[in-house]
Amino acid sequence: MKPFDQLDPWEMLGLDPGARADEIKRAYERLSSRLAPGSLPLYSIADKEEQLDFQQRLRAAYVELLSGLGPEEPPQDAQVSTTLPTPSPNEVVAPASVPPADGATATQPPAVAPETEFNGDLLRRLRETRGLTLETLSHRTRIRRTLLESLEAERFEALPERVFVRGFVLAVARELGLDAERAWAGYGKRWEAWAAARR
Amino acid sequence: MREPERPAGPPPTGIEGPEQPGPGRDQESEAGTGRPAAAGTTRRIVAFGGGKGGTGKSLVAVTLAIELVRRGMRVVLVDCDLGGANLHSLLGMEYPKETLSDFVLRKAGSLAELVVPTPVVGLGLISGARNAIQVANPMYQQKMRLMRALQHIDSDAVILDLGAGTHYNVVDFFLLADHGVLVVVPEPTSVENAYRFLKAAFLRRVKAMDAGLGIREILQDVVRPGRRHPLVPAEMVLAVAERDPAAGAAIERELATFRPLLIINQVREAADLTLGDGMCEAARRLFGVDLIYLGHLHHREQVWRAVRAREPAYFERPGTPFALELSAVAGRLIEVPTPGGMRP
Repeated sequence: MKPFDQLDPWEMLGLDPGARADEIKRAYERLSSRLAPGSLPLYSIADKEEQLDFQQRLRAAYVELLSGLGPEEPPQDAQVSTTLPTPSPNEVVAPASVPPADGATATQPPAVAPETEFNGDLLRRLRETRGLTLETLSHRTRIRRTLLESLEAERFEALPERVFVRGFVLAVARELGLDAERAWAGYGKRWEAWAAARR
Repeated sequence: MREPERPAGPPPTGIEGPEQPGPGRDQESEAGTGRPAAAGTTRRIVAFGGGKGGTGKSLVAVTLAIELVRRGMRVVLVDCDLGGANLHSLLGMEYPKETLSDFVLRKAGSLAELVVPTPVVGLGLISGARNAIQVANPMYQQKMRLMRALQHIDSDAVILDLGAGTHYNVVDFFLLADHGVLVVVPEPTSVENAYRFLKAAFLRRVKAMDAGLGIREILQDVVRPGRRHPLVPAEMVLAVAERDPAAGAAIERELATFRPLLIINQVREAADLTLGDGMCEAARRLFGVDLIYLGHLHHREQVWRAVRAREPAYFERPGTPFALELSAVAGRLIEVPTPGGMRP
């Protein structure tokens, strides 16, 4: 048991929970070079094996945070959310028929028709019909609220690189009980279209 | 260094002696320099240590003291390198007649009698013991008596220059001061000694904790089965917490309030500039210790020449690259909150 085995990925990278993807990336790059095996600050504080292990733990923390799957932590409103029915992905409900959001009182969360293309607006409506606030979703996915907002509004210019956007969509989709890969298939096309237009 | 939010309770007790430290020092918590200290007390005591000799620790202590004087503070420098005192040389002075020995051996009634003026106006010096063995190894009570007396020096800051090594005499002064500063140079030996010093200092602090918690017994139990390395602070906390949650909480608080300061001295290359932050990051993750980084000082020929010529006037000259770096370090030092009320 080493002291750093006790640290969660955020502590490992020295970040506040919910830091942005670019901050995660910068912290990882800084630490992995500064505290690389054989570096002066690690001299004698860790033996050779520990230094390699440490490097791997940094990498693991980085990957874990970027995949949007931080370790589980009970959200404050866990009880409310568990009482909501989880939609079946096979249930065919057209996105157009999604009822207007009315917070936690929503009783009929819609599923998504197989032919439906995912986009930011759909992600928002699906979230709302599940009675999830941006705050709650942010807490569970460990993605900043402002980033989630941009994600739903498709303000791609306010979002980081593609790999991070994909991570966000996958994390949000999983949290909403959706087919994550399908969600990205649709959302990703919109991102690609935007990126192509920008070139 | 201890944080102000440290809960009230028995302060760390002596190791060798049964004597309990007295009540806390006078109300003393603001971190600024604007207000002069109340008559007969000092605002903060800063101890410079850090394991290896030859890191320029004494020079950093002297020049930082001069920088604080330049900022309008009244500073007393105390040569606590018991047995190896030499601050007078750095200040271009002859060996003063009055030294710390006189206080430790009770030839002088108060420390104030021993403060001699230096060529730097506003800076006083209490010179170290010449060679008395008994002074190099004071008993714990003598150390406590000295620390109490240091608090009553009428000044804005008292700077202690400690000896090299991790002997408990050095460690005790480091821990009893408001701030313990590690001076490290960008060399493996110095880095290694700094980490060793941190471990020794935290262990010393833990041993001084309330014996009723049984922490020493728990740690002895854990350490016994032929370990290669001594436990690092975070491991001590884990080991204790596993066996006794209450003691675990106490030692965790002890670790959280253990915040040594760090200065990187004699920086030569660009790569050295990240050493300080790197050590803080490594200590946090591998020891569970949060260091406070004050900054770095470059290796400079002019400084070396000034030392060799015993010409401290150079240190006082404002606007040199050396002075600017030093000023940045001093600025961060006086920003660090002074822990209040938990000293002998």
